[in-house]
Amino acid sequence: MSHSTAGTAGAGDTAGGLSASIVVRRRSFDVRAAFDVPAGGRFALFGPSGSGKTTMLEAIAGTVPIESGRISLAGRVLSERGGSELPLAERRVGLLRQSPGLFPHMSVAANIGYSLRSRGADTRAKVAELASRLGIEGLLGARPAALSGGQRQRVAIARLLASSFEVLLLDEPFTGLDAALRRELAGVLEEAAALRDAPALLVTHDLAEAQSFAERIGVIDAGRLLQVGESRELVRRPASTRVASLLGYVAFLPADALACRPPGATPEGTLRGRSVGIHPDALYMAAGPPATRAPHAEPSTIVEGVVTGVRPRGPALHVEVLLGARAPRSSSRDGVVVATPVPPGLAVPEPGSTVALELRDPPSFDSSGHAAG
Amino acid sequence: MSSRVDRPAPRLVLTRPIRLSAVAAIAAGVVVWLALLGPLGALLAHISPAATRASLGAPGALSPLFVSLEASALALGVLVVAGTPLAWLMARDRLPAPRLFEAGVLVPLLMPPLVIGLLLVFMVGPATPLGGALAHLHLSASNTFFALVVAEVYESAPYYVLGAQSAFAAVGTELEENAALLGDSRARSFRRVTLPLAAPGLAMSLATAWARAMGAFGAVIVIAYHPYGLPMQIWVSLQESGLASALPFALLLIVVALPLPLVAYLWSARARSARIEARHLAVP
Repeated sequence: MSHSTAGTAGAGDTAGGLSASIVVRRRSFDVRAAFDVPAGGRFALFGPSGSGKTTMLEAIAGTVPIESGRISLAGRVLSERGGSELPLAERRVGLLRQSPGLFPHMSVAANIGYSLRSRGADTRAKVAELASRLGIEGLLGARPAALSGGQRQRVAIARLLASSFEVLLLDEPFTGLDAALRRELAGVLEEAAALRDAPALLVTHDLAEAQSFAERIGVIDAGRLLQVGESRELVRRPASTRVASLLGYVAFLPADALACRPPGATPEGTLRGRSVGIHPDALYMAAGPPATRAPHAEPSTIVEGVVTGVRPRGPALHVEVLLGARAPRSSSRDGVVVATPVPPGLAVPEPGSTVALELRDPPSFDSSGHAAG
Repeated sequence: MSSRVDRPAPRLVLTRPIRLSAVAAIAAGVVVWLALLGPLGALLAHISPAATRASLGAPGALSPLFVSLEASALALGVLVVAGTPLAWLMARDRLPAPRLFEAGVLVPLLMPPLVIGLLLVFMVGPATPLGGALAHLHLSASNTFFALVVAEVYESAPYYVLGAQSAFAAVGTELEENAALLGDSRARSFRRVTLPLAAPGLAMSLATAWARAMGAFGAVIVIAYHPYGLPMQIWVSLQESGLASALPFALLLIVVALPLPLVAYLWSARARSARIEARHLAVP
């Protein structure tokens, strides 16, 4: 019953960090994951909606009980199998959800100062300071009902920062806010976590958001933590085709559909029987036809495709290229269309013409979908 | 501008049937509303100031009013103390077999009050074990003030408990969780968040329970014929001296029982519309 019986932190706990090993039963599938976030570290759980990432976050917050496992924070055990759950009020977790969850019967000032016990001058000063940090000093007397969505999230963040959290749990708090506001609020939260040397955990279905926030990312699907990695390395080296498709890979082409440059640079047989993952952002239009181009310093893989269209995107023109249509082994499927920018100084190819696209160091997978070598 | 001038005819053709049916619906609504208010109108039309003064001015004529007020206030106190935790547990799904509990609370609502009175005699009457236990406490649930309170509790409890349950359910767990994560104990978050947000709904159900307790008659006539509360006084006057002498007491009952529920209703309606406005704005 009492949290003191839950024991002290084990050897695996990082000092000040979060250590979570979570099993939660759900109707459709069990959610299982184990990960650590060091003090001051930033970690993101990335996965499609319904994958169980929010459940993991709520388990750490204590609003969802764990079936088994163990969650500890800064040497304190928050939850452990056998039903010992530290009460919400004693966990010292800062949870920010997509819905701000402000107290509708209280003013903005009372919301921000909710966790501050005294009603004295120092409380008022702290509330005023947090409000000015988040740019809501003019709204202190207003009720939440009178605020816009962005203003509400600012109040929720100020309320969170006033509390004494030791871990920051962010459950898609920026969904529905514009890009500039996202950056601003994420900056405020990163700074607050860094100042306290608290671990920060972001749950999101937006890979760009996960990458810009976190140093390390865990990919979740159907309740399982499939892979954890440094945010750029993870996208470059997905452990399986499943992870790769969650990370934005659009196609897996058989290696025989590809050519190498310079010819023979990639040892014959390395890719035989394997498939190569195509990420639209890792495709470059090769300058000129393969035969006439000077040998590249770094060996690269070339895939040919047919131009199906040219469209402006942002300041650049993007060619849409149908890949795999000419690949002998992919006759069963029609291939996939990818869009890639036309590099400056290069002629815009005609629709219907064949272009060579360069793949630098693409991941390859064996027939069972696991990453090769 | 010009397009509006160009096409007046289709507009008329389209809107006319809708308007006619709307007028019919409003007319029907007004008729139903008038019919529901009819008895109140009849009371006001038939009561004479002189007779009222004579009836209510008699010595001891107001004592049923005080009996009713005291008994109802006590019954409400019992409901708040015993019914509020139950309503909260039901709203938060913290009970095993929650549907069973809900059905149990509904039973006294669905049972005719007269039947409740009969069954209460078998439950707490002087010859029963419970009645014996009460006798040790020098209480009797038969024709006493205590019996009147018991009867009123049974007649009004479902209105309070079910109303309070939905008032608590409307607050939702998310805000309570937020309060707890910000360091509040359960008691503290209940006081600072749950209670203020549920207050309009609680007041509404308390006011409804008040009206039921003040007007309780079916169970009362069986187990608490004495001392007379207002409903019993109306019944006795009607039996002994006819309609005219019962009307002043009826007016008194309505005047005492009605304003509180009306005020509570207006308050909770206002709070609800404010909450709905807040919910609309909650989606960013």
